[in-house]
This record gives sequence, structure tokens and C-alpha cells, in this order.
Amino acid sequence: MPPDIALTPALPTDNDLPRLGRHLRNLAYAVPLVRLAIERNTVARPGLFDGVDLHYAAMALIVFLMERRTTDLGAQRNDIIDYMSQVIAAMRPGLSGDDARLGGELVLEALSNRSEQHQAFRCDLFEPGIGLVPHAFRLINVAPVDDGRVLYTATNEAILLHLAMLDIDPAVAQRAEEMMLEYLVKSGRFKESLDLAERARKRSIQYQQFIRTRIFEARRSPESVRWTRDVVPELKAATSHVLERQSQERAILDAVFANKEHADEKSLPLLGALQHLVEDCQSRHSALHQELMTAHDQFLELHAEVFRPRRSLARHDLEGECLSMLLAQPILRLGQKADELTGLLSAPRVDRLLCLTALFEQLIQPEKLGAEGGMIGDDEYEDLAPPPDHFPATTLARVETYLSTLFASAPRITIDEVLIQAEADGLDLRERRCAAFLMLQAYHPDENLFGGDVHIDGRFNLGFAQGSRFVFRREVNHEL
Amino acid sequence: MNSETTHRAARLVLKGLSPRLRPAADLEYRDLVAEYMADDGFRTLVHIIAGAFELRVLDVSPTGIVLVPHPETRFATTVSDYRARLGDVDRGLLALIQVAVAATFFPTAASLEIIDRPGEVSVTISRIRDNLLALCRRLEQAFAADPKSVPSELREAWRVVLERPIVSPSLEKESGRSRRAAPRELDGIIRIVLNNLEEQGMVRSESSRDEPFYLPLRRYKVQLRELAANEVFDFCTRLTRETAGGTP
Repeated sequence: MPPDIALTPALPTDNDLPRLGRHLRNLAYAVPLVRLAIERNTVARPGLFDGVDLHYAAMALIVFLMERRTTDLGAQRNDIIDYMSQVIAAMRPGLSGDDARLGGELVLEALSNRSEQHQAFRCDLFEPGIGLVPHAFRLINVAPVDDGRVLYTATNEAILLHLAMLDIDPAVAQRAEEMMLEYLVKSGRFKESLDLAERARKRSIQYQQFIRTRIFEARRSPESVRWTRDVVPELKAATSHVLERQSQERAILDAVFANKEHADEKSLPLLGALQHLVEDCQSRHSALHQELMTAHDQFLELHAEVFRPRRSLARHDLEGECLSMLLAQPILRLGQKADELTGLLSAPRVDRLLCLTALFEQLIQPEKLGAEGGMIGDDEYEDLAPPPDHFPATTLARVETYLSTLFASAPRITIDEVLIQAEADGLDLRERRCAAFLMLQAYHPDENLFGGDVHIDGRFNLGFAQGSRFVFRREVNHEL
Repeated sequence: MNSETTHRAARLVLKGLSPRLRPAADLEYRDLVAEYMADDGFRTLVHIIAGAFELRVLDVSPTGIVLVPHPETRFATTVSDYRARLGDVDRGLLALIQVAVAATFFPTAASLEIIDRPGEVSVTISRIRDNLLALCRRLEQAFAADPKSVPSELREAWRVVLERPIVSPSLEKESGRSRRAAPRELDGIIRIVLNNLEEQGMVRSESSRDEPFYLPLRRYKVQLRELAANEVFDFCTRLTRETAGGTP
């Protein structure tokens, strides 16, 4: 009889389970894109995104923001939507301009988590031995900058996503590609080297953005970084990386120039394009090197700010404590003490009456009372109804027809002759005034309803109308 | 200290009284901020001059100087600077909504810890209103078992918020005509507060597909973190104590 032994697989311990933290994080970065693609018919009206690859649109947005960051602090909403409407329209050429812009705006909103107040995306990731670990990340930051603009930037997480969801350090990838590029150029494989140079250029943009974001974050938040422990080594590593890249680029360019000397007609344009791409990387790295050099001084300038003693930090929750307590107070008591609260939550009052222009404006504003005794302010203004037309549409139509007929029958006629003729033909004063306006209007080529040439010859005065004496000359067809 | 230094210190205080001025767009302002950061003597002088005008220097950074007036002084903003001739109920609502706006941006003390963040949290009028209404409804449920009617002078703020129309029904009927919200509507009061905060250089609005959203500027965050969050709390506890004790 066989032994009665039940073999059950041993339960894996925490040590046996794979460590997938980085993989899961990188996977999570793609979730907003996937969600957008899945919910394509709920985030937008059904059909809007038909034929649109939303993954492509989202990645194109990230690339655009990264590229924009190399020349500015970020991109403005309108520029982004202009660009994204082109991306959407390229995938669906028949889409109207407004719909393409709407589509672009929806992609921007999805990636910047607009529906959740632009807060970070959040998810829980499993970590063996620990359990579910909350993780928060952003793909696009939106923030006002010092010059008053609101700018959008791609985050480091978005850059990692752009690196095909592989957590490759941009610096490592860049170094490997440049070495390969140098090898290809030296061995005369120009076509392949051109593709690689284009990738190297993109890597240089990624790296530039990566470092700039880091510098920018540290500069904006000096209290959140540990200067000597975190920032200084990062700056040193970045400087050394950039210097290495510049030296590598010089070597590639040397190889390009050496090959150019005896290049045939087929290779020459490839080498020219290659040179252009490498020089572009070179100028990016020079600019970045300059920034790295000055970043050090800028941090030191902020040193005093970092260590300045703070008066006090918030100790109470505005929502859970303050607002809840206020809501339970009698509104009349709150009204009596409202100035105190307002003073705490507002900037200093700037007395507008110090300005003479403002004083004048203030004096000429009539004071109006609202239905409930409150002042009527800017917020209550209603749309101004346009004034009625001076001449009814029927009068205008009738006079236009009359004038057209008259002009058609007379090769040359003046404004006063028309008006006299109109009186003789029974047009009343209102109609004759209307005719005078239409003829005066006809002086402008865009408003000339009658065609032909109009010029001025002195003045006329018929009592009910006076002004420049227009001479209307019908165009004569000289063709026989 | 010579008179030139005093003049420059006073200029920095003057710049702080125009909260929308930015050092990034004003070379003199930028130099004054740099001098403040580098020179202890100049810093002291700025504080003395500001103090003479009954102002506190809350913060000086590359984004500018943040001045806050002492309560009930010449430069202190009042409800009538937001909207003139309001009755006590509307004044109370306007003050309450100022706190609701701040609380929607920064609900907790922790959310105010980092002043300079690469990405900000935004708010919209509807988000502020929905947050406020949710809090009021919670209070409504808590008091549901209390059948006694509340005399008008003791009517709590949450009851008034719930009674106030989001958008005035009479104006809502004006279909086809665009119009802006009025102060007798909840959304109207929120808009008045946000517009004023934007004028004061505290928030920045950004247009969007459906409704504009607002982002907090550094000045607003600094003022909330270093002053308002704690002092609003003190105000609330004082008011609660006074109401309970019947103190006028």
C-alpha cells in the first residue's frame, strides 16, 4: 500500500515573492492613458474620438511638453491645445477645428487629472512583506510661474513613461547611444547613424528636461531638499555627465568631418543631416552646462530664505476644524465679525482713490441698489442689448433695390443727383436718408454694394443730407 | 543707515502694497528683494517701516514681499472692499465663503506644509460649492432629530447656506442670455471672493473647457500657512465661546 502522503506546494514566503516595485510604478504611469482610451466615449461625446489613437495623442502631448521645456519653463494651455488639435486632426482629417481642439483639451485634462483638481493620481501597489503601499504621481504639472503665466510641464514620471515604460536612466541610455553612434559613423554606416542621431537628440531633450525639472523643483522649494546631501551630488553628476556628452559629441563631429572629406554624393547629405543633429545636441548641452553652473549660485542666494526662522506653521485643518466650527455659528454673529476674518484672508487693501483716474471713474459711476438692498456690482451686469437698426430691414431692402436699378441705368451719376431723382421718384425723407447712408458707405471698397468706381468731387448740401460729393461710375465692359 | 537705504526700504514696503507686482517683471523690485535677503540692516529697516504702517512682513522671497496688515488698521481689507452695502447675513456668508475657498484649496494643515510645489491643486466654483454643501448637509443630518425651530438671530450659518439658491431661480429662467452670477446666489458669492483674491494677487484663474479653474499663488499659501490657518482657528474658538456664553 502506497504511503498516504498528500504533497501540497509550500506557500511562498515574502522572500520568495518577486520584487516588482519599479515595474508596478512604471505600469501605473500608463494607467491614466489606458483609462482615457477605454473611456473614450464617456469623457467625450460618443464618436468624437473615433479613429483617434488616444495612446498616441497622449504620448505626443508628453513629447510636446518635454520639447517645450527645453526652451521655456513649460507650455501655456492655448499652445498645447493648438498643438493637440493638429495631432488629433492628423489622425482624423475630417474633424472640425472646434472638435479637434475639444479632443486635444480632453487629452490634456485626462493627463493632468483635471477632474480631480489636478491632484496627483493615486494607486496602491503591493510590496512583499509590507502589503499595499500607496503611491502618488503626476504626469503633468500645472502651476503659475513668477512671471504670472500658468504653465504645464511634463513630470519625471511622464518622461519615464516616454522611455517605453522601461525605467532606464536617461543618462545611461544617452551614453550608450552616443557610443554606438560614434562607432557607426566611424564605420561609415551613415544611414543607420542618422536614425540613431535622431534618437540621441531626443535623449538629450529628455535628459535636459529631467535635469531642469530637478533644478526647478529644488529652486522653488528650497525647504524641501537637503542641499549638501541631495542637490550638490546631483548637480555634480549632471555636470560631469554633460561634460562627457560634450566630449563625445566632439568626437562624433570629428568623425563626421573626417568622413565628409572623401564622401560621395550619396553620403554627403546624410553626413550633413547627421552634423546638424549632433550640433543641436551640442547646443542643448552647452545651455544645460551653463544652467548647472549658475544653479549653484542661485541655491546659495536662497540659502538665507531656507534658514530664515518661520513665524509659525499651520497647526489646524481649515476644513475639518475651522470651516466646520464656523458653519455651526449664528450667521448674524458671523456677519458682525466678518471684517476680522476678511482681514486675515486677504492681501492689504490698496486704496484706489489715491489714483486720480480711479477717483474720476468712481465719481461718475451711478450708485444703484439691488433688489435686496445690496449694491449692484460688476457681477450683476447683464448683456447690453444691441441698439435697434437705424433703418428697418424692409426700408433697407427697398432702397438697395432702387439704387441698384438706378446705377445700372446710369454710367455716371453723383450722390446729389441720385437723391434728387429719388425724391422725384417718390421716396420719402427716411428712405432718402437711408439712400444717402448707403451711398456714403459705398465709398469703402468692402462696403460698396453697387460695384464700379467711386471718387469725390467737391461737396453737396441738400438740407437733409450733406457731405462729400461722390461720383459713381459704373465699370464699362470694353470687350466687344 | 543713510537716507538712501531708508528710501529703498520704504520702496520695498510700497511694492508690497501692490500685491500683483512681481519682481520678475520689475527690476527695482528684484534688487530690493535681493538686498533684503542679503543685508540684515536693510531687513530690519523694512520691518520697522512696515511696522510703522501697522503692517507685518510675513515673507520675502524671489516672488515678492508678503505684507499683512494688523486687524482693523488702515490697510486691513474689509467685507465692504469685496462688496459694499451688504446686510449682516450676506456679510457672514461672504466671510464664511472666504474660509470655504481656502479650505477647498488646502483642507488640512499638512496640505500647507510645502509652499512651492511643481504642480498645484486647482479649485473651481462648483468644487467649492459642492464641498461646502456637503459639510452643511452633514450638519443638517446631525440636527435632524432636533425639532425645535431656531430663532432668526441664532440661525446657524449652515442653514443659511442650504437655503441660499446656487443660481437664482428668477435669473435662471432667462434662458439664452449669458449673465454673471449675483451675490444673492451661492455661486455668485464664491465668484466674488475668487475675483477679489485674483485682484489681490492671491490666486490665478485659468480658462478651461467647461468652467475656469483657480490656482493658488505663493502669497496666498504663505499667508494661510504662516498666519491665517491658526488665526482663523483662534477666531472660531473665540466666537464659539462667546456664542455659548452669550457674550456680544
